[in-house]
Amino acid sequence: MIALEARELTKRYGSVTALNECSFQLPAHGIIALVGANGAGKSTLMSIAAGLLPATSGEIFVGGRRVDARHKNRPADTAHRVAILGQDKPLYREFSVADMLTFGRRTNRVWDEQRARSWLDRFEIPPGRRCGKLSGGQRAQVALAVAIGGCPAVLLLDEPLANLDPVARSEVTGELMAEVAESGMTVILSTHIVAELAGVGEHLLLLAAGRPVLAGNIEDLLASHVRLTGPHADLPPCPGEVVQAHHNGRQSTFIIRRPDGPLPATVAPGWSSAPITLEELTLTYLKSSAKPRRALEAAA
Amino acid sequence: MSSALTQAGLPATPAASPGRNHGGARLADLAWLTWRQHRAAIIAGLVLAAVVTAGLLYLAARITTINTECGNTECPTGAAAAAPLFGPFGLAGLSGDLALAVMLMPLLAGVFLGVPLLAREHEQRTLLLAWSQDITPQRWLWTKLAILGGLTAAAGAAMSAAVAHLAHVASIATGLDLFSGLAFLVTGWLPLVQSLAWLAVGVALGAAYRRTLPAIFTTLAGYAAAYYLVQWLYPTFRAPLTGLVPIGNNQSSPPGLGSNILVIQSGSGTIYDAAGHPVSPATIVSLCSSGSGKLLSAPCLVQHHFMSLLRYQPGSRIPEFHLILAGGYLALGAVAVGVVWLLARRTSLSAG
Repeated sequence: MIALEARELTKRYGSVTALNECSFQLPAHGIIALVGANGAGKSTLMSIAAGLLPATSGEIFVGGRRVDARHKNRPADTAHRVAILGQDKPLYREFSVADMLTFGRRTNRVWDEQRARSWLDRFEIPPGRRCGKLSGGQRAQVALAVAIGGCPAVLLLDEPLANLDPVARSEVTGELMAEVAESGMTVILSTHIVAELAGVGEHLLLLAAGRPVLAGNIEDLLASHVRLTGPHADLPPCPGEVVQAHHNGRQSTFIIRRPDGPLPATVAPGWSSAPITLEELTLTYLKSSAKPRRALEAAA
Repeated sequence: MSSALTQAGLPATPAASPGRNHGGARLADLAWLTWRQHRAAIIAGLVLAAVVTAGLLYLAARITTINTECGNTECPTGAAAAAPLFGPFGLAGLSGDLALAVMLMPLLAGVFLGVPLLAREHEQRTLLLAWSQDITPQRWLWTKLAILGGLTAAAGAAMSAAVAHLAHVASIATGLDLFSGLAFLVTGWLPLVQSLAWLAVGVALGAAYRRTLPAIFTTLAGYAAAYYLVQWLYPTFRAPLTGLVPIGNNQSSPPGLGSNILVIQSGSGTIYDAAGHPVSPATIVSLCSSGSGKLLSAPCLVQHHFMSLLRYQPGSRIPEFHLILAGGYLALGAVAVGVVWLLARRTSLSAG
């Protein structure tokens, strides 16, 4: 089942292209990591998916239903409901935590009070405290409670872990995973800090300069990429798509993508293979996608 | 721990049934949201309006008593009954102070209710929160604007009625001219219309600037500019009438021209005799020149019943002028509402 599908999605702000003919499909029920450098188009993509921002061209579908920013009615049908949480986790500063839940209940046709309350219960947020006096972590929890209480099929979280201390970050990701497992919703979590995703995301969508450069199940992606190190060579010693090549004196290092799975530890005389981490994988793709762009800019 | 509290101490709300429920995002829900967000400004505004209205009605009652004692005409100079009207804390002075407060209420509505409606949402980035729930942005905006507009209209109507009554009784007691100054600008339901117009202007400026302070300062500047523009323009809404008044007349409403006239120009140009015929300068000099032969003797001019030309707006035009002004303010409000609609439609939010 597909949670989010984009077809030739483009968004331009004047002469700046934030999303450039993006096409992808993201599976339902799980946590999807949307990764990209600052300005890669993550927030724009999420805002379009939430129906807050109109696309310049192309289409985006949530649970098979086309999102139209001109008609901002959020569907009551829970299969197509989207909730979005911005980077700064906006809350009404003068509202108490309890007021924020009332806000959620009163501004939504579908609202699960118990679900929202139980989220706050887990983090022991004082209900009477004004939101303006909450810590950054507590603000994130309240904002998440309001988002979750709206019973979304797809929850879009734009850098939700930014400004959180490591303990709060770990708690939020842990509870999110539990919530996903319990409710079956899809969480799309954007970040430019890949280390935040360790053990969290099941699926990856990597954006660079407004285009998806890598998408897939994280375990499959890691399994299909390998680092080969050996004597200086123009090509790697085995077939596969070269994602990155690095030559240093008498030594060459290749990161290749093999469609048929990982290689044994030794692939050829003098060569060794090693798995790569998620951070290395994303950095490799981001760097390789930046090179042609820089070359184009230099040529221009 | 009380049974009304959940595990983490969240108070149980009666409307909040466990599990999923339906039916939010109705008018009552938006009314709650509007009240919760703007309750400080709403309470302060309503209390201020109530105090001002009560003050106006109290003064009107006191002045009505004096009018009764004086036979429902202007009290003779020095009459004991009229003593409370004048002096540093006299009823006339206090009426002027309260009329000034009424004059400023529309500005307060614009600054404290209008501007924050969208500017504060933009500043605190809460528009993303509000507009990503089940209420459409247009419904959210227009319902809130209608609620705040309704409260503003109620307060404006109460003050308008009270100040109009006070102006009426004060005009009897003190001969207050109802076609000039504050007396004209705060009567004829203008406070009500102005309050709605400046509320809309405040919302529009808040939407345009997306910042509270610049929007407030622009509202203040706009209000001051409109005040002086109105003062300058309203005497010319219609071509003034002309009439002859005796030279030396000190009454605000010369005999024969009706009450509450607005004088546009007086005492210049040709001098007329009692029959209304122009008198040549040579004749006047020969009759009334003082010793030096250049200056005219004022008592002589009065003695000969000479008259001068007066250009004025008659008091009967007050309702018409009020209507023109109200139309202008309503047009200003309508333009502001149009700007709000346009800006709201063009507002695209981004999570980042």
